[in-house]
Amino acid sequence: MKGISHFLAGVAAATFVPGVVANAVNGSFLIALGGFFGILPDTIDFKFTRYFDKAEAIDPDPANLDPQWIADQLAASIDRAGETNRAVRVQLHSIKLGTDRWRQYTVRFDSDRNEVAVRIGPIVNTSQMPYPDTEIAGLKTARAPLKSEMVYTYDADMNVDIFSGPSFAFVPKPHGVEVQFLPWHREWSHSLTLAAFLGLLVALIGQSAQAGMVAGFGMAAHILEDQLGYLGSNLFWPFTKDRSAGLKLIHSGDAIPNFLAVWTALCLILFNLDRFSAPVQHRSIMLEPVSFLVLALIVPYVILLSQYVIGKRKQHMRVEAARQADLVAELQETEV
Amino acid sequence: MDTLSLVLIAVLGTILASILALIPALHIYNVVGLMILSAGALSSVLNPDQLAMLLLGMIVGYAMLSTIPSIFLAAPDEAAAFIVLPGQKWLLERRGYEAAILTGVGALCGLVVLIVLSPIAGETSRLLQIILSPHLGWILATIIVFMLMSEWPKSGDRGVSGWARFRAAWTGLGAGILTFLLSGLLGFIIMYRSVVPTEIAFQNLLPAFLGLFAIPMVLVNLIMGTQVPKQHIATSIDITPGLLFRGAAAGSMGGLFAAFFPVVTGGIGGFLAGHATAQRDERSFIVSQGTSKFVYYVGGFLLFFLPGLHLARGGMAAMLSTIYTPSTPELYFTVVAAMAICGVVSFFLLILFSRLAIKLIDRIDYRTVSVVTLILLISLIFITTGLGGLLIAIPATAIGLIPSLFGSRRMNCLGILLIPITLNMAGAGASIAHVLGLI
Repeated sequence: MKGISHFLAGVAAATFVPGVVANAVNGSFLIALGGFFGILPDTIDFKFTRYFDKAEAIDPDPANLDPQWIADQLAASIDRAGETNRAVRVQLHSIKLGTDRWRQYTVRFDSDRNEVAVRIGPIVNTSQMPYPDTEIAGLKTARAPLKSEMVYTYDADMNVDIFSGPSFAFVPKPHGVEVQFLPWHREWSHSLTLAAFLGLLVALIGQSAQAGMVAGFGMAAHILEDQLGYLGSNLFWPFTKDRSAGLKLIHSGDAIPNFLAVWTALCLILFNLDRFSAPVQHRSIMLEPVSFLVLALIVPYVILLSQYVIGKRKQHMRVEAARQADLVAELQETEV
Repeated sequence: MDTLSLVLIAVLGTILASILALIPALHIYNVVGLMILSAGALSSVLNPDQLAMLLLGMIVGYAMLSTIPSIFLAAPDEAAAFIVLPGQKWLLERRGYEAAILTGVGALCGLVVLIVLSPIAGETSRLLQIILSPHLGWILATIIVFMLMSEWPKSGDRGVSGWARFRAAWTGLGAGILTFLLSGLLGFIIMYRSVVPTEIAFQNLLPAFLGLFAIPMVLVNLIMGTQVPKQHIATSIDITPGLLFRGAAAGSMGGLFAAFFPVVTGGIGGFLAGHATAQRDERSFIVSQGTSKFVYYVGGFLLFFLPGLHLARGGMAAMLSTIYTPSTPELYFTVVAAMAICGVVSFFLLILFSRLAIKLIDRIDYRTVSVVTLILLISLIFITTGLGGLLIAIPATAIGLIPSLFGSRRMNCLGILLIPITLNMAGAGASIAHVLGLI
C-alpha cells in the first residue's frame, strides 16, 4: 500500500496503546513513533536493502537501442539459472534521455511460447505519458527462445521506463525456472517476528513498555495491512524462508483501498483521541460510538467497497498475475 | 447595508485581488496587512462588515488567481509551491493554459466542498476543536516524521558496488534532510532574532518564503536559459471524472487540515494532498493542488465567520480579528453565498488572465520575463522589509536552491515553520534558541 496508508496505520495503532493519548495531551510525542515504525519496513527495503541486492545489470545503450540484445540477456540469465540450478538475479535499467525524457521498453515473459519478447516503445515523460511521434519506425519486437522451461503467469506486458527499472530473481524449481519480481522486497523487513523484536528493543532502550508497544504495533500494522493484498510478506522470518500468499482482498496500488485505509486510520485516531485524552474520571466522550462509526466508517465503506468490487469484477486477472501486479504497483508507488 | 451590497463588495474584492495576484510574489496578506493598519482611514468608506466582505472577496480571488505567477512565471507563494514543477513542465510542453485551468477546476471543486460542508461546519469544527486542540504538538511532529521518511530515492540504481549505489541514493535523500534542517535553523533565526523591523513584523516571513520558494525557481530558469514555446489554448479539459474526484478529494483533505489547524500552512496542506495523489498522472496532482490551496485560504477564512466559534485561522483572519468580530450569525450564510459567487467570478477571471499571461510570454522573451520577475521579487522584499529582508532572502535562496541542485523535494523547505513551531510546542524552542545564541 501507499506510504501514507502505512504511516497513518502506525499512528492509529499507537493511539490504542493504553496511556499514550493521555500522555500526548501532556506534551509526549510518542504517537509519532507509531508512524515511524509504520513506514519503517518499506524504508528498510527501498532505502537500504535494494542497493545491496546482488543483481546482474542489463543496461540498454540509449545510443544503440537493440531490443534483441535485451531479450538475449534476459533469456541467457533464465537459462543459466536452469542449467546451474542456482538462482540468478537481474536488474533491468531504465533508459534516461533527459531531465524528463525516458525511452520506454516493454518486456514480456511469454510462457506459452517459452520465450522473452522485448519491444522498444516511445519516449515518455516522468508521468509515463508518451511524447507524440517518438516511436522508432521499423523497429520490431525482438524474441529470444529459452532452453529451460519458464514459469511465469503474469500475462501483462511490463513497461520499463522511469527512474529505476524492476529487478527479478530467476529461481530454479522442480517445474521450471520461476520468475520472481523484486526479490529483495517484503522479505525479512516485513516480519512480525522482527516487529516484536524491535518493539522489545525500543522498550528496553527507552525503558518504557509503552514505547515498545507503540513501535511493535506500528510495524505490525504495516505488515498486516500488506497481508490484505495478493503477495503478503515473509511473516515469521527467520523462522520462515519465503513470502507467504496474502489474503487476496485488495491490490496494493488501488486508489479505493488506499483511501479507505487512510480514512479508517484518521477516524480511529479521532475516535481514540476523544476517548482517551482525559483521565478516566474526567472523561466526557463527545463522539457517540455507534453513530460515529456508522456515519464515519460503515457508510463510506459500503459505498466505496461496492464500487471497488464492481470495478474488480470487470477485470479478470489470475491470482499469480495479481500477486506480481501488486509488487509492480508497489515499486511504482514508492518511486514517486 | 443589505445582503446584495455586501456580495457586490466581495465581488469587487475578488476583482481587485485578481489583479494583485498577477504580480509575482505579492502575497495578499501583505496587502491586507497594510489595509488593516490603515483601517481607521478606511472606516470612513467601509463599515466593518463591508471591510470583512471585501477581504473575503480578495482571498477568494487570490486563492484562484495566484496560480498564474506560479505556472507562467515560476514564482509561487508558499501554498502553491508544489504546483510549480508540473506547471513549468506543462508550460514547456505548450500546455501552460491547461495547467492553469486544471488548477482552477481544482479550486472550483474546493469551492463546492466548502459550500457542501458549510451547514455542518459549525458543529463539526466545534467538536474537532475540542478534541484536537490539545494534540497539536505531536501532530506537527508526526508531519515532520512523515515528511522526512516519505522521500524515496530517485537515483542509485547504477553503481559498481552496493555502497556506490547506496551513496548515490542517499546524496539526494541527504540533501532533502539538509534542506529541512537548514530551513528550520533559518526559521529559528527569524522567530527569535529577526532583522525585519518590529513595526512590520507581519511581513517577517515574506523574504524567507520568497527566498525558499520563488527566487530559486526563477534563477534556475535564468541559468538554464529556459525558453517557453508558443502556448496552446485548449478548448477542453483532458481529465477523467475519476482523476478529478481523486485530486479534489485529496486536495480537500489536505486543505481542510491546513485550514483548521493553527500554524499549519497551505504548503503543508499541499504536501499532504500531493502525497495522497502521488500517482503517475499529473492531472490529478494539479487538481489536488488547486483544491488544497483554495480550501486552505478560503476555508480557513470561513471559519472566522462560524457563529459562536469565530476561529481565527490563517493570516487574513488573524489580522482581521484584531479589529473586527462578525456581528450576526446570519452573516455566515451571506459569507457562504458571497464566497460561491466570488469563486465563480474568479474562475472566469482566471481564464481571462491566463490568456493574457500567455500573450505576454508569447511576445516577450522568457529570459526577459524571468529577469523582470526576479527584479520584482527583490524590489518587493526591499520595499516591504528593507535591507533586513534581503539579509533573510539571501540564505533562504541558497537553501531553496539545494532541491534544484540535488533533485530532492522542495517541500523540505517547510522546515522553516515546522521545526521551530514543533520545538516550541515541545517546550524546547527557547533552550535551542539559547544554544544557538539567539537569546
